Amino acid sequence: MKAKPKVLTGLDFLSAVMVLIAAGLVFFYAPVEVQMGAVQKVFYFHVATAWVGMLGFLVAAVAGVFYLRRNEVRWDIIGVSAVEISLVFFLIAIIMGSIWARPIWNTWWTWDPRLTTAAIVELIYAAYMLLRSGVDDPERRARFSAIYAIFGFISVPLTFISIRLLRTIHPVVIGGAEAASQGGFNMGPSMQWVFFFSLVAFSVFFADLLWHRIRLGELKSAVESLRVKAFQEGM
Amino acid sequence: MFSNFLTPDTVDYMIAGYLVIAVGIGLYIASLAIRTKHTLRAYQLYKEDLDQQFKDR
Repeated sequence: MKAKPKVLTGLDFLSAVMVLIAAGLVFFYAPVEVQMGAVQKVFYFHVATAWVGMLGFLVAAVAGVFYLRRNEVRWDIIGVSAVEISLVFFLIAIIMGSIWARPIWNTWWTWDPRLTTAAIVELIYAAYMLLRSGVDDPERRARFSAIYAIFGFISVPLTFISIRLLRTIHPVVIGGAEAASQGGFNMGPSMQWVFFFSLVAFSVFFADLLWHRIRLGELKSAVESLRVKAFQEGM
Repeated sequence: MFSNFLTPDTVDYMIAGYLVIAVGIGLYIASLAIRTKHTLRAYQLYKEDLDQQFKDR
């Protein structure tokens, strides 16, 4: 295995510092929203984790396209790495949203278009991981995953635009407010600053995690090659 | 003009939300570290075995 690059160590440090600064800004700089109280602060990391989730699903779809064009295993590793990280972040976004919803909507969950489409996205990519593990042949698995990631990605923009097209209680924070939404608010300059900083911090954090996960994928691939070699040598 | 609107106390929900993200990301990073450690150990074992076999020949 290649030694850990210095750039990756730097990225570890940078992402940790940025996420900590973002948390500090959320707790100590961002104002408390008058109508919702402190729970509104969930918004900053709720959107940031959802953003990372969607970003990873996009990376997986792009990696799928590259795999189909070039047939190189590294694109399969990038795809599965991005999906794995995004599954975690998207699930966190859904749970954080549910916690935010409880005092504002008076319910943990409702089958609103945004919540429903987000749950479908999570299930689609959970199925991606499950179905992958059911295919033994690495080439077939990679091809299947690439096609699945490309078609699965259709669900992501649908989730994003669901609150802009359909009647929903989920607030549209950026780009106008739906009359039926509950929990919407206007972001002041300090809120916007914390919000965009959180988005950047989590994007850097995602890049860092993705790099680590890709290295793990490459290591697993190397172990698999050695295992095959050992088998051929009759060990 | 006086407003009788009081900002609700929702601090517990905020703490719960940030606990979810801290625990979730913490667990994922731990799982990544553990899997890397195990895979690295497997890689070294296979490599040592193969090297030993080539030496024995």
